Amino acid sequence: MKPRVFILYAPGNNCHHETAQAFQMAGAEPEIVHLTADLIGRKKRLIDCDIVAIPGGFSFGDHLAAGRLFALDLVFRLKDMLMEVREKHIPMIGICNGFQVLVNTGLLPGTGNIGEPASILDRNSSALFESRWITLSVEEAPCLWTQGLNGEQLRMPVAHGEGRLRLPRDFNENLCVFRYDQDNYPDNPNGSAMSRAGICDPAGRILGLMPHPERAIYPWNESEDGLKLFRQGVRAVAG
Amino acid sequence: MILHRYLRRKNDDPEAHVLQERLLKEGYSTLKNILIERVFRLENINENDADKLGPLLCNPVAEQLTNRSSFNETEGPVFEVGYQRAVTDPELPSILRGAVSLGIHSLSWARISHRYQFIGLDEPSAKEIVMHYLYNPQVQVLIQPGEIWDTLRPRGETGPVEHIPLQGLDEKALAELSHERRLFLDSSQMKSLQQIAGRLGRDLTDAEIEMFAQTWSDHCFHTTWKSLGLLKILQEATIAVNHPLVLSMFEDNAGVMDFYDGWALTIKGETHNSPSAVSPYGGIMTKHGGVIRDTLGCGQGAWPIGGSTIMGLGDPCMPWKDVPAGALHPRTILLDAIRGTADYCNPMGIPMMFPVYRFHPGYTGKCLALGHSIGLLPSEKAPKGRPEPGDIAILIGGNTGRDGLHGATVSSASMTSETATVDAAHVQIGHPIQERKFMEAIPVLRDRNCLRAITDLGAAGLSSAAGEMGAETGIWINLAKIPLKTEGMHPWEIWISESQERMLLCVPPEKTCAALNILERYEVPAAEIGKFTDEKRCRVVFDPAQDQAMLALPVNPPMTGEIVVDLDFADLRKGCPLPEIGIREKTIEEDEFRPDNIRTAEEAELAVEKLLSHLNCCDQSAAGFQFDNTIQGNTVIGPYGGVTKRMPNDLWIAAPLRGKPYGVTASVAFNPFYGEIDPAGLSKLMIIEAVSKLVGTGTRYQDIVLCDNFYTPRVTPDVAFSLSRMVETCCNLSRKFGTPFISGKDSSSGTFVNDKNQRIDVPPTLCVMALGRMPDVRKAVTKQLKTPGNLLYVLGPVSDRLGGSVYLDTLGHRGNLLPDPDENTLLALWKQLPPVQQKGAIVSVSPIGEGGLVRRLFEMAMGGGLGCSVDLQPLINSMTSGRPDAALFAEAVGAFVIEVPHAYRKEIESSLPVVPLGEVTAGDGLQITWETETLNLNMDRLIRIWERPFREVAQ
Repeated sequence: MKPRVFILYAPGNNCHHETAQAFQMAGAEPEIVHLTADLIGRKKRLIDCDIVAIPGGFSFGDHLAAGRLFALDLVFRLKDMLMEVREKHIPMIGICNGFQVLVNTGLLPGTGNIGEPASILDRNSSALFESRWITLSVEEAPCLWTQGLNGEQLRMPVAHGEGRLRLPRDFNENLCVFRYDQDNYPDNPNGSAMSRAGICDPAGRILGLMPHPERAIYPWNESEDGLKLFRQGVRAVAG
Repeated sequence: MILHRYLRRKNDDPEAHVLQERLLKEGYSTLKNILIERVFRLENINENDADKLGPLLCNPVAEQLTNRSSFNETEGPVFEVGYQRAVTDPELPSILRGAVSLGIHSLSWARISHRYQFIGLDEPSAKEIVMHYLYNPQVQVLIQPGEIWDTLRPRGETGPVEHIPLQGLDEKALAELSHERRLFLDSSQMKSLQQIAGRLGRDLTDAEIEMFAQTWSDHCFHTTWKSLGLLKILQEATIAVNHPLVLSMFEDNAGVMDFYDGWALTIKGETHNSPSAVSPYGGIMTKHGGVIRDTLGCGQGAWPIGGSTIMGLGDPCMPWKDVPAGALHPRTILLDAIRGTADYCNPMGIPMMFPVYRFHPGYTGKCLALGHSIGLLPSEKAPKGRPEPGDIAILIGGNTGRDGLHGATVSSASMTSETATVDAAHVQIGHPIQERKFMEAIPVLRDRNCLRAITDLGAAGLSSAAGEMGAETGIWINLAKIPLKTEGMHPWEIWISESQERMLLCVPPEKTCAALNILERYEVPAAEIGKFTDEKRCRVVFDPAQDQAMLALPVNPPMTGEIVVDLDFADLRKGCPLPEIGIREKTIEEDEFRPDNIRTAEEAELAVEKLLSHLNCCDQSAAGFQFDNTIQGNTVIGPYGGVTKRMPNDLWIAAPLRGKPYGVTASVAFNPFYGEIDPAGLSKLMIIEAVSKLVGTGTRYQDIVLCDNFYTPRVTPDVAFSLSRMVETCCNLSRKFGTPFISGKDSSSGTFVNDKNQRIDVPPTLCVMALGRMPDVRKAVTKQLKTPGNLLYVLGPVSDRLGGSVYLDTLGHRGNLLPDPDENTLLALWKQLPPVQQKGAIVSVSPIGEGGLVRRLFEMAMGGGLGCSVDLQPLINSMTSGRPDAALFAEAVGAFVIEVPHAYRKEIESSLPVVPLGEVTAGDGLQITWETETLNLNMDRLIRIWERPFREVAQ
């Protein structure tokens, strides 16, 4: 059976279609699940899938802060489902706005409690939205999404205004999964310290990254590297 | 009861930092620091509950939330800027939703304002900064210290329908009425109104008069164009071309062409010049929102796949003292325009195809603010369905407010310095998330056959949309069913409100329930507001007491409550008298103006540097990189490319049918200088430039359609002549090439007049967008140079005319003769090219345009990380003038620079009209020789010169 991927949609998300396409090309069966109608409406449960993906976009307009409203719903209205997902070891991926959501819930970096964010994806140091192609280095990390990709360089786009990752002082650097391959602007488009572009939780199941792998999946995109990440994630849950 | 909370950054504040850098550059040298605080005003909440909002309002990692301001008022002047009460903060629905997530249900309204403190500046300097950079009186207020608001909710009032007596009014009284109500109707139009009222035998209502004013405005009715007969000849040309790919032209919200595999492409360009000139941030957002809704409302609903922003502006380096009273500084418009595009298009999730900024003093009073949108929909859903009697009218999207009242009539009138205060309400703030929500829902509604017809609400709001949709059957609407932003509104205000992010659906009765369910799932607000009838009348009531379901009402519901509008559609459409417009012919001087020739390499180097640092030629990626161009994942060629990632591609290619290599190709041509010399020549060059860009990349010219956007000054006999020449040329060339215009828009409002009688006319402006298709995007020929040793040629008709060129502009001249490529030569070339491209004989290509040959060589070389070695002599010899300046800088629209592998040398030279240039080199400089001169251009130096000017004004 193909692994089932729930791609969570809230008003303002705008990368769910291409994220679904990427998971499908990687061999999974994606389904777009609505935060309000399906989850808060209790028509679906998060544990009825093999992967939870939170896609990019501007959920709730990024009002007040990117990802904050989405995270508030997860933490204050769907905490039971999040706990179940954690218990069942269901992998998660948050891309761009999805990463911002995960950080706002505290699921990343994941050393504290749900609902107590310890980090922030802050305004880019340019104070501008940055839409560019960048190169990522895959770091040695205990992350199920990148097993077998260590040391590779992946090309994909970034497109965000709030991507400067600020982590607690005691962050375990081994959990940094992706770095921009150069630290200077604009190769590191947002000014993240130590060029960090993506991190995982200590269990290696929850991945968050600012760049958009789902926009680099066809031979006619500037690169197809993004597909590797989806393939590895799907392979990991397919066993 | 209103409570306050204050939010401050704990440590660094990127926003304050960037602002400070900018102000230091502007000369505020004593400025030590800027502090920024966000103030939340919260209505209907107690202190205890307000404290619980922490997780919603603040991230404690970087921010602190306090009950009092954290500023020390003695350290420097403080100013607070917020939205006017008439304007709803875009964040409001999110704040209310977040509060509910936290278990707080009482909160009824919230507002956010910004407090700025300037350390190291005196009060007047700080105030100047606020007025210049941080405050827009059109939508914002300066909140005074200690100011107490009794409520945050926009207040409103309603009132009975007024009946306006017209009978017996003389010309003067009619003119006064038009002026008082700001109808912008001329005396013949007012008389026509009087006749209609006479025929009806009753006074017209306020809403009816407003509706006539809106319907008959130049913006909606295109009175200038109709009176000159231009719309008709353009449409006739398209009909005559009878292009097999055209599915719909000029009749719908956008034009439609066939794509592949049962899919079709839509194309539309829309200007929003007047609002953007007075309130650029909101105006630009509205521009994008409006043209995107044209895509969503095309056929039975299309999915937007690409957008553009095309701006024409005055000199952004103009001294503040030279800015005409009543106009904004061009740089203010530029910065707000960039921000507006980013803040609307990025959340919409539609890739940016072309960010184009061009500068010309004629745009100082009224800028050009054009946006395009292209979309994708199943071909079978391209024809609009016809509403049928009994269908339900559903209004979706945002609430209706007092926004943009008189927007349509104002954009048809001249901008005066009064506009800034009198018509403030015609500007509003965009809410892209509202629009994105229905963008998600519309394809679902369409595919489940819920939509008989759909249209957007733009100028003239519901009155125009309902009129457009209901004209064939008749429509009945109850305005009391429309959700409002404010406490109350007059019925006529609801009827013509231009609140953004709304669309009108015509839903078959049996699909109403399904449609409402889908809309709810996508969190799109929806209201059943009326029915389509069978009596061909426009009937509008305001009846709060009507509580029957729309489905239960008869096909022609009774006129209960207050009668707001009761008119025959025929009167609305046919009653408008057209003005008589005289035409004065203008002749063009035939004696060609030429500047002093370039003699030495040193002179040439200086000229090249001036050219590449010209604002219309230089690197504009400082704006472009702020717009998402990879979203949707289908981008093949975005705005920028090459090894430096900054080479402008000049065209856009995407493969929107997921997993299939079918390509959409698109390009635009916009030039502010050519029209000043010769409007007919402008049309010719714009069409050829737009088509050439696509043909160069491998799109067959038979697979291309066009979209026009005209922008001209308020009509005078001279302007009428220019405009007629522009349109006639479009028609002639369209027929000649067999390339149809299928969509377009005209604006005849490009005149600014202020109370000092300063008048600024825009140059005659035409922007042409070309939309094409190609079967395999992998075969597209790209711009950057590929391989050292390959040969370079100029292909196609060369020209040595410099009129309208950027080069002449750098010398302070305009010139008087435009390049005039031969149409038959071009057509022959376009026919010849595809097989040559298919076999790989041309490996890189760039069509010559603004900046001429040397700019192409520079960009292609930079893109490839390579150089070139060029002998100009053959090109110079091929020109009648034999001048090197013409070879370097003439804007030979229609010609290309091409790169050819040696293996194809013979074939290319014998079969195509080429002039040899030289070859690609491994080094990264340009070496250009003629006679005994050798010009060596260092690439790094050129890049530094090229990347600086726009960046300096745009950041």
